[in-house]
Amino acid sequence: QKQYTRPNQLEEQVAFSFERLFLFFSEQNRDLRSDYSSPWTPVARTRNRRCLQSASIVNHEPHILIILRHYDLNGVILLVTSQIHFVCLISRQGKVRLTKWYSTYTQKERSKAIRELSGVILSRGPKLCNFVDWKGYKVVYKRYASLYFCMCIDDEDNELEALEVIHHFVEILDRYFGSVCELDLIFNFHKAYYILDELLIAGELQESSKKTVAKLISAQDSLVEVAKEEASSISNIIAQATK
Amino acid sequence: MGSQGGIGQSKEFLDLVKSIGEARSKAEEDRIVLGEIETLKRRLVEPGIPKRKMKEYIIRLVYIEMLGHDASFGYIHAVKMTHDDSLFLKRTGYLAVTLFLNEDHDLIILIVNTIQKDLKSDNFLIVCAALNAVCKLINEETIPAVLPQVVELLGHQKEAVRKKAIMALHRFHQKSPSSVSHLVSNFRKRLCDNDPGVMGATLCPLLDLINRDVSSFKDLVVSFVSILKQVAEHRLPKTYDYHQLPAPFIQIRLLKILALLGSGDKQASEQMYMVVGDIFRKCDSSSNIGNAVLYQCVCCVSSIHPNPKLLESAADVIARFLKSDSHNLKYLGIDALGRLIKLSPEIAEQHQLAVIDCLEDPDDTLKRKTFELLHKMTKSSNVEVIVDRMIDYMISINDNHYKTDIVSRCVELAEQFAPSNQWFIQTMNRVFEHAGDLVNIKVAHNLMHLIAEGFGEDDDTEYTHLRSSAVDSYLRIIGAPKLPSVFLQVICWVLGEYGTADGKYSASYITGKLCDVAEAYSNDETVKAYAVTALMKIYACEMAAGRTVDILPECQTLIEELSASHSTDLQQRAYELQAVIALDAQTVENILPSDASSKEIEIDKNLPFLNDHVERAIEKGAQPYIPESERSGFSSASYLNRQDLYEVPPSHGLRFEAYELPKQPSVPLTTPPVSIGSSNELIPVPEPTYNRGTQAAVSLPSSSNAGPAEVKLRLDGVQKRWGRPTYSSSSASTSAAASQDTVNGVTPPDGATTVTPAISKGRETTYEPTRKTQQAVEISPEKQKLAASLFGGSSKQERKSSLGGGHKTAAKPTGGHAVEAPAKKMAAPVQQPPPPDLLDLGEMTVATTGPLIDPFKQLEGLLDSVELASSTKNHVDVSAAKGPDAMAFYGDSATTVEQGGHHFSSIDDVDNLMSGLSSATTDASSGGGIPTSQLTTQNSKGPNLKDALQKDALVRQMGVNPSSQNPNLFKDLLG
Repeated sequence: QKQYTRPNQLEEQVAFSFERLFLFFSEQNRDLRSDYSSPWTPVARTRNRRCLQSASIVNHEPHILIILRHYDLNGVILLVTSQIHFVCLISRQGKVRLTKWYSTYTQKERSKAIRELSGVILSRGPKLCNFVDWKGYKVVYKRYASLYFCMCIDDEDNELEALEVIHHFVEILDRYFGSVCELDLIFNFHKAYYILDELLIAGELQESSKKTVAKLISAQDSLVEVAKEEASSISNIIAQATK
Repeated sequence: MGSQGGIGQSKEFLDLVKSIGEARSKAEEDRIVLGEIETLKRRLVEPGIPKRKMKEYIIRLVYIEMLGHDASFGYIHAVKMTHDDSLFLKRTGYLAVTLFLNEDHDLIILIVNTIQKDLKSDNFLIVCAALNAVCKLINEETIPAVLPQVVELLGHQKEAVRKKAIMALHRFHQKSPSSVSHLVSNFRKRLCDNDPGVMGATLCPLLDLINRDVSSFKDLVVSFVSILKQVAEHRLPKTYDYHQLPAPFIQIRLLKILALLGSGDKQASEQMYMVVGDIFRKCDSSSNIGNAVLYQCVCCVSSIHPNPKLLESAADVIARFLKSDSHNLKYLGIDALGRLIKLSPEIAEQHQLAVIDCLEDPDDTLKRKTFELLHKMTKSSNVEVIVDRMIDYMISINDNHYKTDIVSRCVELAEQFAPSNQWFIQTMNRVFEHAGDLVNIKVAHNLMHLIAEGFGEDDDTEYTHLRSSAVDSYLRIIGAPKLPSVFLQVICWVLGEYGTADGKYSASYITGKLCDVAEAYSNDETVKAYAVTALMKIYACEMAAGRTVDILPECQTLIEELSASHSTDLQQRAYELQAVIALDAQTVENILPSDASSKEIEIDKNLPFLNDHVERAIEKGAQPYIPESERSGFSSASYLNRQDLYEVPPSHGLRFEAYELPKQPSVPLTTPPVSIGSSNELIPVPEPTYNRGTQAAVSLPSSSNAGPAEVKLRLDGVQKRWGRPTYSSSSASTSAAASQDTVNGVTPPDGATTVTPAISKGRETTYEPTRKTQQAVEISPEKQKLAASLFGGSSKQERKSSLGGGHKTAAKPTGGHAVEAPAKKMAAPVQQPPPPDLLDLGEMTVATTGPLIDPFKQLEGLLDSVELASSTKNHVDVSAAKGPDAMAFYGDSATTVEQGGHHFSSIDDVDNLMSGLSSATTDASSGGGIPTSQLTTQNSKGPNLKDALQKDALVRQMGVNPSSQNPNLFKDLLG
């Protein structure tokens, strides 16, 4: 059993875990549900932080917290951790240049998200901060020339870090394409995807060394080149043979 | 490279991209894409497509999907492409499927086999591609299929593969924690990997695991600290530098982990102080990434066991952030301030002007963050200003998502800190008026509850006052167009209950208004139902009072119309109304007693009115009921039985034992009825259900809204906090008799309500136009006023340093009851001289009289300084006398502390003395007085310096040579 020293810290932690916990109850869990359903069910339904916080204030009892912390006690609670939910590149005209979704969204939700975000982000002034609230998440964006790089993260996450992840990505792109411009990305979007896959995986930054990413990408590319040469030489041979 | 046009892409594809790029409108773009979809559909079914061509088609599909169109017709081809042998095609296939498919897609089952094969491949690039796909595609059901291979790959010679394998396991853990719970040791091992990239990646799953269960990772604190130390000391390869900072992303992740591990754990925290302090010192604050690390440090410091030195560094960082021109940094500063403010409330004071600037900023994101901060620092002394501002902002925005958010915050704050019932009702009215549809219906019920019950005042005049002012305000609002339904329901209910209660308005006036509402919102049945019931109550009230009821013609038509309504509920209500009117006064009085909404309906559980019936039945030979406890043979086991009954749901499952032999149906009266079987099966069943039923019935009327409300009004807490206890305590004091009663009874809380809105009002009227000019030259006094009302302390603390200092020394956490009282006493005489500047009392009150609610009007005459001084004195005496009592309360409720704070700050407000005796410091001091709350004691500076030094020494001992603790890692990293 845990010891919690400060009431406000306890509250914070409740709010914190509430925010990240998406919980629902299994059938075996009936007795638990009947006892605590009142403050819990809304928690299960919504991910709105504020609602959750007010829920947490109703429950100062530590046992609820403990149950929350040890969520696999007997309920099935899904842990949604801090991560990047999606990355998208939007041009100044609102055209999509690249999207990568790390959380599950339907095609409809995707279009809606892009539409809403481009509306918000493109209309923001230059000196404002690079973070926008979006449905309980934070979207961090940065503009490079005519292209906006956006990244959706959790509300509690380090926004400035996300901003630097974006910059990191841009630096790698720059190194790969050699002073990258929007056209490079338009025509080689699949290459940008490969690079992004080396940088981020499952919504987390997997590699923070530019050199390592570059090395991997070039290894893949050279293999591809080899394959291509082989393919073309084979087709040449075939072509010659059939002549 | 500049590979425009790319290699191996056909003209067709390039043309597509170009034409999309040149499209002038979304419609044109859609048309092009639709055309492309048709082409691809046709092409893909052609037989014998060359592989290169196919690859391009797949990329074109990706493109279509990226633009938001459905490319599902081609998914299967992407899946097929993953089966290809050449990496060149396989990679494209994997890329496409990871982009196309969600983890629950049906096609995934076709890929799992390929993934399994590819994970075993000799070529590490193929393994990497497969692992990328694993991270995205494998779902809970398919985890077991690939898990063993992924675990094996943790030992792969290529670091890129190890890294991806770790990330894949991390993903598995997110999807189904139980699937990888046995692999924790693998993560621990990877923490010591040769390659810093792998180590960095390992931090991701560890962060998650620690987040779930802190206690089982406490042993890793030392390792994390030593890693962080090495990273900060530039021991990692140069390639990990980012803008001259050593591996900042890894540092940030480590700081996140340490924050979790150190939270609430003094011992663990002490091991971290050293390294966190180092990072504070080393981080370069000129680059973005440096600031990101610093911000993470502040987060860490605010989470772990507090250390005065680190808190100081954190405060410095925050100050730098807030002073910066960059909005990003300001934003982070506000956020960090919100984190730190609970540990050291005094830090907010030095930044109050910066905070107010952020509140005024045109940038919405920044503004919202600032509201979040204000929300965190709300207390009863500043709740009015803050909630006022929040509501103003709420009215100005359109974003429903955020509106709901801020509304719930307003309601929460208002319910928690409301200084008076009046204010609460006014605030709720505003909230309902502007965002009624977004408010939880329970909030409305709470409001009705509040109006019906008051807050436990025994004083009837206060009580009726509250109601009549509510009625007044609703009658004023009711004419407004387009009110939200929820609000109308409240209005109707209140008018029905209390509309005619104080005799100010005639029944016909109120009923006329109710009819208007019912007509104006004729398609809202709930509102109509509320209105009709309200009409009924008013008529009943009239009849009970012996007056003749004259039903207005429009009411008559309304009732007739409703009695023919489609809604049976409305019909029922209309008929009931007609029936009630037809009764005589005595009966009506019985059916609908006036002002009984909050009275509990008493239920006699014994149901005595059934006695006759039971006796008659027994005479006729029925079995008497024998209480469970008296049943023979079961008295001891009855408890168990009952348990069984509760566990077995009412619908009995199958029975596998044989049934007992049937008993004689009619048992003679005297014999105890009872075989095991029958008592088990028959008798106890009705008993508990009966109990439950009555309990529910009893509790229903009293706590109709106490149930599942997650934004429930906390009545007990509020009772203590709001007005009343103050009054009772003051009336208990003997120092002044009659005049004191009037003053104490009303003035202090009222004073608080009158003055603080005045401050914000004054600010709003004069501040806006003069802002720009004044900002450059000096800080406008209005801003200072706002600051003072928000922060409770003065923005000109230097001037009053003697006062503040004096109080602070008095407020040192000396922990005794005796000291608490003198501290308050000491403050009293200092308060009395009228303040020289900042807020002029006379002017203020005059300025505010207009918009205020009538009850206060009568009291304004009393607000002269003489009386105030006396009232202050009284209060101080009272609180001093009350000291020990209050202390006794601290143990169990924080509300008492709050109340004390409020009590004092209201005097402050009246005196316009925004000085060291702010409620913040009062809170702190009283908090310090609690022997149990070590934390505050630690936190406030004075006597713990010695402790802190000792701790530092200890940290130094522990932290300097971590290599001994984790030699393996150290060696690895050093090479």
